[in-house]
Amino acid sequence: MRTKLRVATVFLLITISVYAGVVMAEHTRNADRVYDDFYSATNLADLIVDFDGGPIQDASEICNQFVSANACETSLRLDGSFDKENEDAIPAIWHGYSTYEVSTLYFEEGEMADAMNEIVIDRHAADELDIAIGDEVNISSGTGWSKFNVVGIANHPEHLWFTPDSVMMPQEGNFIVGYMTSQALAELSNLSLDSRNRISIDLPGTPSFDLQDTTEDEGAEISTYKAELSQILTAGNHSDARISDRGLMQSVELLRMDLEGTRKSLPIMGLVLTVVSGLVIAVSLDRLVKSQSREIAVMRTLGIESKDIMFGYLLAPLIIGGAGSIAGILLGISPIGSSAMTNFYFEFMGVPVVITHHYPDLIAMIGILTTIGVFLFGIRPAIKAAKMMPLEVMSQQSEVKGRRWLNRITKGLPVSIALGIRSTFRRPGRLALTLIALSLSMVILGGTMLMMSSFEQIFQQTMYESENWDKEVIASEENLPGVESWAQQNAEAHEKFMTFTASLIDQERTFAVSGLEVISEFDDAMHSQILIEGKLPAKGANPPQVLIDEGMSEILGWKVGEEVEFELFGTQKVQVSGVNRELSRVMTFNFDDLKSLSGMNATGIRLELADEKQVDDELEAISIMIMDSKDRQQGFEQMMEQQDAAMMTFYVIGVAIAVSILFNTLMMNLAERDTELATLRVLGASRWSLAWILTVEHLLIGLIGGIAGMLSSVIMAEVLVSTFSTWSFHLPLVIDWFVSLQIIAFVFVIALLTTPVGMWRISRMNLIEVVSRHER
Amino acid sequence: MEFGPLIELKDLTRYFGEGDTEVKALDGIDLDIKEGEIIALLGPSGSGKTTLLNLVSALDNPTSGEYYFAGESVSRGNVEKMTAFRRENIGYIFQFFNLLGDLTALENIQLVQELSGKKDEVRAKKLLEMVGLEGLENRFPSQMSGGQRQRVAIARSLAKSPRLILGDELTGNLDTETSTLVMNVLIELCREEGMTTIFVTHDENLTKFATRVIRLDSGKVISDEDGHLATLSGQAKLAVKDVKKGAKKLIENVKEKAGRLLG
Repeated sequence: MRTKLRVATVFLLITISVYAGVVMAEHTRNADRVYDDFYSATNLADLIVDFDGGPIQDASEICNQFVSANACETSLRLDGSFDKENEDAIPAIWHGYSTYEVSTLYFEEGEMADAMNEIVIDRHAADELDIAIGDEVNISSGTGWSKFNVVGIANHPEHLWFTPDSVMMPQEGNFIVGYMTSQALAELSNLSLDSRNRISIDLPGTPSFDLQDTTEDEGAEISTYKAELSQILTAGNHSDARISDRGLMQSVELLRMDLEGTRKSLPIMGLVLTVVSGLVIAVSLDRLVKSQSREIAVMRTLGIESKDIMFGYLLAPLIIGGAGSIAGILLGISPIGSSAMTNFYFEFMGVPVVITHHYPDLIAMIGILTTIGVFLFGIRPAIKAAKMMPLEVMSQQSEVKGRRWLNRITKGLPVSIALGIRSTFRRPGRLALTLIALSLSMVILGGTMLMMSSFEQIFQQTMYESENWDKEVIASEENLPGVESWAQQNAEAHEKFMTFTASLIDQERTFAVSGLEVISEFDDAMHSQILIEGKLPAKGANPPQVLIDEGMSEILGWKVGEEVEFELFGTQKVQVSGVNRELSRVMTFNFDDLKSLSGMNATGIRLELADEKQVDDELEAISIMIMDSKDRQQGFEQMMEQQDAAMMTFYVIGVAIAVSILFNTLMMNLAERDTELATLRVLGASRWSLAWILTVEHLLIGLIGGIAGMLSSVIMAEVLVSTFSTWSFHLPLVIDWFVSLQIIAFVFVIALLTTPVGMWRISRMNLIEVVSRHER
Repeated sequence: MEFGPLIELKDLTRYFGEGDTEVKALDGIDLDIKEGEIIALLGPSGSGKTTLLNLVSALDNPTSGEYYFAGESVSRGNVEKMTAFRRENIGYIFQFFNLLGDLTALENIQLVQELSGKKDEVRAKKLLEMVGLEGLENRFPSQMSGGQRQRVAIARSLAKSPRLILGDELTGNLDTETSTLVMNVLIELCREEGMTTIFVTHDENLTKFATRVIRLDSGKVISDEDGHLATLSGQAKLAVKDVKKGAKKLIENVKEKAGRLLG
């Protein structure tokens, strides 16, 4: 019965491991194909030129000069607002197409806007805001409101991850994107009809681009095109133009990195799962060999060769590993397997076209590798069985040996407690295996728990605790005095800020440069700082002092006190005064320092409003975009809920693995002591005496195993965070001690729960049979 | 004033299996055992001696019949009451010693005292001294010989001063010399402490340590003799066996020599 239970546990573990491996591997490959298909269907731009200094009129001339392009689309891309009935306006991004050739739309229904009053609404927003074809919507781009007819609902390749620029959280319901002709958008914005501020270029083939998360330059192929384009732009006096490849498109990069994170974590998870399964089978076989040592000794005495004995014990892991792998594969390709995972993932991401496939090469590789892994772990017990010496077994030389050092430590304790403690440590090798098994059992569950709690803590700190504003108003330079005057009359407090996009010298990586009027760690600032290291920047220093976020500091190796250079309106030198915590890569200046560097006044104003105070038409009319801090927080909450749901698979697999290994390991520990416990029972030990001895033992194993599980979870969380970390999405691991305690408690409770199970086993034990067995 | 027996077994049966496969391990045992008796339980394999020991120690339940210990019916079926009965009344000595390898000799004895709430370190040490293991208190079982281990087991069985000591093939794992030594120690201590002792054995030589010898066969008592007589009877049987063996050898020798002479 016990052997059957052990075999079932090992089989289950292998099945779960292979299932998880197949699901993740197939999902990664399917996801790759989904993105490729989608980007290819919509002809996602290979290069984008943004004219941050404002719209230009000669964009088509640049296109004409850039002869290497397959297609070159000039467009307008402007921030704006959408009039949500009976509520405050919500921020918007409007795209105005000219030739509609590059980064086109994937239509859910309807068609491309053609007339001056027609608009296509992004599917994410249409779903959330309940907008349908035929509806009339009221929109603005900072210069008054206009009504447009909705003629289509579509997805855009740059807005699959549906967030405003430089915001990481999806804002469904509080953010909208619309597509129209460039002339319609120019008219809405009071610009000349030939105004364009973006060029999207399709190059021949799909040239590789520099990846943000690596130090190597993978973008050699595309850099020649960039150089050519740069020359054209410089010649046309457009030195403020910013050239980006796919690696710098926020949505595209975030999705690529998310997939890359899954891809990178796959071998780690696979390795952990195989090692866990292998270890469990090794321990189980070891136990089996021990329990059959007399039978083996008899066989050896009767002249059966050791290679025949070894073959028998090698067959077990091969059969169990193979059968478990087949079961895992069948589950992995079933309706609850990889296709369910991919569909769930893309539903969460909002990608409309999902076609999943199965990949026999991947499936075979996972199945074979797992079986081989499990088989390899089974070799040692098999050798042990083959090398067993009959005389040694019969003469009890393998009996328990007391340990002096333990004896000394536990000498003064009641003997029953000393027995519990000594039993725990009697075989350091066995204890080490138990602890490794307990540690590994927790890595997936604990690692995921710690990673998610770390993300949550960081989001909590950066989105709730450090944001003290209610509305963030973006306005054109000429309208800013009007917004400031509105703020003086209507807001409790206000603070100007400016934000620019800067880049590293000779590198593609960009980051935000922010200038704040108040830099403080407290609520007196609209955006208070979470200072990790160093001090706040002093005003008027030369070179200017700045704060850099910890991701920037870690990835670039920039230290406090160091003087560093970057590109923003030319090459700038600053001194790092401190390191702070931010969600994205940000360099923070004192407002006046950045003002004198940029020559601009501000790009927006943050407002703190009294509870009853709302944004009025007057403010909306002079603003390009008004962001609501609650909307951002709501977006974060939605995302965390979805992330938790997405992580549920990991939690379930993690719990299943943890519980089965914990029970299996602890039950084997118990089984090793059958004779001992039965002897105590014959000698008159009451149920409670035995429960006490077992409790002491399980308390110790639970505590030590829990700590080991927690430490290995921290290591796994570090590995997971580092696999998901990129330049754009770099978050440190912040250990939540409450979660760490939960991990320890998890192991501890399961270890303690084994006591009643052990007691139940003892109550069912045939004392006569067990005590008359040869002690081994 | 006359005291009743310590153990009364009335028509005790223990059957295993059912129907065609039913085995009558014990078939109507009636026995009275007085306080202070030292009983050797003999019989061939499958005669029921270990089954009887298991019933007496309340490790097993009889199929039918009555078992009284010191005049009180011994609980059956209730595992905890049976355990409590063992804890309070029985000292058990196993064939394979069953000492706890994590505990020293002294601690093995103290554990039993602790379990029965009779912690007494002085007595534990004294018992080790009485079994001739003075100075070996802190040795682990793995550091001791078989005979030494069994002496620790004897000391352990006496540790809580039980009324009854039970031994199942307690010298089965020892050589003759060590067996004699161990039995001498046991009997001396039991006599000194006035404890009733029942030991199962198939070794006729050990009957010399018994005041009463009970022989079983096919689950029935086939003889119940005084120890002294039993010892003589046992020795006589051995002597006959030796004579038979010698005669056989002699005949073979004669046959061999005759064969050589004749041909």
